[in-house]
Amino acid sequence: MVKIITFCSLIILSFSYCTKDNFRERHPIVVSSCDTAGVISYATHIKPVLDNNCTTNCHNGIGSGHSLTAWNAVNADAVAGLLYGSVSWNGTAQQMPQGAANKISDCDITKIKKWAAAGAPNN
Amino acid sequence: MRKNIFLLSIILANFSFAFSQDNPEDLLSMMNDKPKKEFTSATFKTTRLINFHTVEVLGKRSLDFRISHRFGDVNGGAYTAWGLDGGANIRLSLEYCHDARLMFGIGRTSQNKMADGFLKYRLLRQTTNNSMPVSLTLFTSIYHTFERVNIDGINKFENVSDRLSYCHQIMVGRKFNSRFSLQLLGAAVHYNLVENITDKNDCYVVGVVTRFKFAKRQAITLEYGYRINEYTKAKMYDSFGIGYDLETGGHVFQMHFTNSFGLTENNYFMNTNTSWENWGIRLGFNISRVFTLKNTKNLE
Repeated sequence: MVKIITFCSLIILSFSYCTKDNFRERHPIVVSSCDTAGVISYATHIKPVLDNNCTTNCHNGIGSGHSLTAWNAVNADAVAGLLYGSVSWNGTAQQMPQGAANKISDCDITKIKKWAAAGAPNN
Repeated sequence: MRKNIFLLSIILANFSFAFSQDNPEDLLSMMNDKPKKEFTSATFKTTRLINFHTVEVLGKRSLDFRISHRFGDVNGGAYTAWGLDGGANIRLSLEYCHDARLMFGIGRTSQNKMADGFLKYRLLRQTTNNSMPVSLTLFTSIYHTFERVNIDGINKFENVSDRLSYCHQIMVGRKFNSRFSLQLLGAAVHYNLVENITDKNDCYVVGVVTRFKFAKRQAITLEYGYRINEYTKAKMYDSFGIGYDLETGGHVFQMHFTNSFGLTENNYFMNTNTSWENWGIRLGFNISRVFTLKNTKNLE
């Protein structure tokens, strides 16, 4: 009898510490949102976009025209509306990235538009 | 709710059996009227078949030291020496039984740095005259992982209870003759913490375990566990193993192939992520050494 009570007690004891939790309910995955508020900086916002999408194989002064490695060249294209026109595929310039199935992200396009509208400063 | 019903049924089953055995006069009168019952021995050779528990418990005052080992997948080919090079999973355990009915054990497994403890109670024993045609054993266990896991820089196990999981089983087995034994089992596995939204905390398994003894000290074994529900969206497979038992005195040496890398119930029932179809199986062995701590004649 004692061993049966022991067996049952231990089972009940083990259930007393029984919980039903889910890690992702406690810590949901946070989807990063696009932050285009405030001043758009060439160094912080624009250059990384150009480095990732434009200068690796092409617009680096070697591969094709319109080098986008230095601010003064980028500034000239941005002020002329070429930069925004090419990445937004609005029909005013050749669509870039060339041959890509999709545009760069809307977030990055918004940053370029806002930066160009502010005069494409070297900030 | 299912868990509560399960628990209640275990407790009721235990107590009903206990009360039926409590009156010594009844027991004596039964013994006078009928020939003495003899229990069927060695339905299976040890308390484990390959991974799965069997209806067997240890003998009186017996201590069992077990070493279990699983190598890597054989489908790695010659480059991984058919799994021998791969990271192995090892479990050491110490198990004890005082009265040939209630046994307990503790173990440590390298996978997930898992410590576990279990209780196993032999509720019914098959008799040679078939007055009791089957053996029935209850099993309950608790697992604690010591692993340190960070997900997105957050400690996965914020509370001690997050590290715990459980398994409860009912096993019914029968030795049909000296060569063939068969066991059915039902198991419930509970994880206190799961990772993804779609993961389940509670899972259920039914299984079959069998042994065919082809020589005096040798047998072929098979085990299969069918998952009634999936634990996670990731692709998992039912655990299936085929093995060879060799008995050598106090040792039992079990060698086998199984698609389960896990050595504990919370792992091999639900987390088997390799399949027999593409040879995602591994070589494994269990060694059992039983020590009898005191002359059992003195107990009777």
